[in-house]
Amino acid sequence: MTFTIYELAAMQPALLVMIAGLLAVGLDTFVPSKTRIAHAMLCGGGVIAAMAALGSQLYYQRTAIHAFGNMLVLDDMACFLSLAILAATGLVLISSDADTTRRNIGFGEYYGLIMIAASAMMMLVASNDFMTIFVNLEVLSLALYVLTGITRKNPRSNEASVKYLVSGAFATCFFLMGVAFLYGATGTFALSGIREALALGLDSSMARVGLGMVMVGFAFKIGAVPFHMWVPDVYEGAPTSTTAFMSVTVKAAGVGALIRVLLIAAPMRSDLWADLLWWMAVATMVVGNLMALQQTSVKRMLAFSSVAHTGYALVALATMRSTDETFVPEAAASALFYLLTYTFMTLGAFSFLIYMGHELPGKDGTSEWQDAETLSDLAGMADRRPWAAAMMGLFLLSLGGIPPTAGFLGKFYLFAGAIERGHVTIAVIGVMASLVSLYYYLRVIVWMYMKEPMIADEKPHPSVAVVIALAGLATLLIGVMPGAFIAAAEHSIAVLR
Amino acid sequence: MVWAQVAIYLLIVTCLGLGMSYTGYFFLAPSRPRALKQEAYECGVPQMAGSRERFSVRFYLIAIMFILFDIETVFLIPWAVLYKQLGVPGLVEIGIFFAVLGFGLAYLWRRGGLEWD
Repeated sequence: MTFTIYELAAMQPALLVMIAGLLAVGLDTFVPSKTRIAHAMLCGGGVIAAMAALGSQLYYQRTAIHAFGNMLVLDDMACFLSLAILAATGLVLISSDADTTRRNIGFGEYYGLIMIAASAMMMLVASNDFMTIFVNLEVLSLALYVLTGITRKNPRSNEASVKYLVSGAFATCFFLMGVAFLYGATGTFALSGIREALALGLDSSMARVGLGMVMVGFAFKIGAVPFHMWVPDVYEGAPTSTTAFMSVTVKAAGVGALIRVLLIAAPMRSDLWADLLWWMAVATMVVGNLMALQQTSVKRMLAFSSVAHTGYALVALATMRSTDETFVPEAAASALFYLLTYTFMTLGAFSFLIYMGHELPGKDGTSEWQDAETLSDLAGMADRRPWAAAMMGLFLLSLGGIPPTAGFLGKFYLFAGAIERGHVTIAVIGVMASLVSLYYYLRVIVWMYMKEPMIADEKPHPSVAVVIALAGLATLLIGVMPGAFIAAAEHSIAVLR
Repeated sequence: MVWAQVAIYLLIVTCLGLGMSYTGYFFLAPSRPRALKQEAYECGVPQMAGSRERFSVRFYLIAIMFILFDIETVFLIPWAVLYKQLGVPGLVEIGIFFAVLGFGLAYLWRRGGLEWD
């Protein structure tokens, strides 16, 4: 089985990112005089080249490219999510300049792993076959396991890495078993083939078990309740730039792949998965928000809040089957749009924690870098750094869903759609949950603006300020002018076949 | 009711198997323990050291490298079997695969992964 050069175009953006990552590793290893800037420029170049490739695909090519026997398809949804992932990757590349210098991380490995993970995510959202989905899910997970533990001397980071690896491997087993069950029920790995087989009304108990297990695998990767237990520990233990990277991109990629599985493999059989997703979405929203209430560490609070936000995105998928039993695939567009808004506000909030980092005296006279984590680290910092505090306030209000920010529109679009399709209960639960979430988001603002400073020795890094400004700009832009972004999300779902 | 029959059959088989082996163990077999019989190797070879030894963490790298080249072989054999049918595109594909693997080896070598200390 061979392929044409034309088919390679389907993975060209992801390949560009992958090659840039490998070159970064090579640069670190084989070139004697190397600088951090060279790595960042190389990887940034890869990201920009991939964005250009995606742009030309969107504006000049227009038709989806099906490649390798329809295992990969570069359609508008893949382009949309790839662009979101690339935007997040680009911002993380800028902000990780601070982390790699301060924590003395080997930057060849660091940049290489970030790029490889990003490339796997881009191929994951373009995957049209359970084989490619699985391979890309594993490549991105393996890169993230290492990235989590990349500060090798830090025991918390190591612990997080091992936890992530062990529970991730367990979830992978579920995913594989589910794929095996689906193969048993339908005789194919291809998503479109599974749809045709399910339409024939085959043994649906096996397909039900298979789809359920596949969804367990996805739920673990995106951190949905009850498979969220790894999220707070891993997000807290990982270096903050890694946390920012994985909290936004893995969600975009995982939910994107889940949308593709649901809409291409099982659209006619929403009875097999809609109820399951409904309960999962409700549990994720409620548990994520209630657990976030109790946290004193801002980083851990943001981890639980990211669990809650997974729940909001799942609402769109759970309500695709309206209460009068019609199936509305267009509903998934609100999940795509929500992921886009979530990308920038979460990235901004985590970057702010890097920005407010300070040095801790270590045991043997050396100093160790510590990002801002507890509320007391942020107490009263609004007087010293009014701009940064204002930006963090913007991100928090956006996460809580206050207009005129991106988060408000994301949630509005999501819950309005759910009500339109008759799912009032889940919309009410969602709105109540985000009301609860305001308490812990506003608490950070209260500490920033109304408390006396306790620690005032933060050493901000200019590159992080750039990231915060760009993320804040994007959050406001999407909040004020959402039309183009919503249209793009709707178009991505409409052409999904 | 096929499954009920299977369940009953399983129950009988389990009881029979356990019953026979435990009857033999408790009532029939002679039990005369001696010091020599308690040893790990009943053939009489004396034990050198405990089995719960610690391994050097360096073996981990060797294991990883073994897996690397093991997988390489796994991919190489199907290509070698179908060499003629795959032709030039197959050669190019396996070439890319080798290039990436070779890059990995070069990285390992350069970073001192092949040195014992």
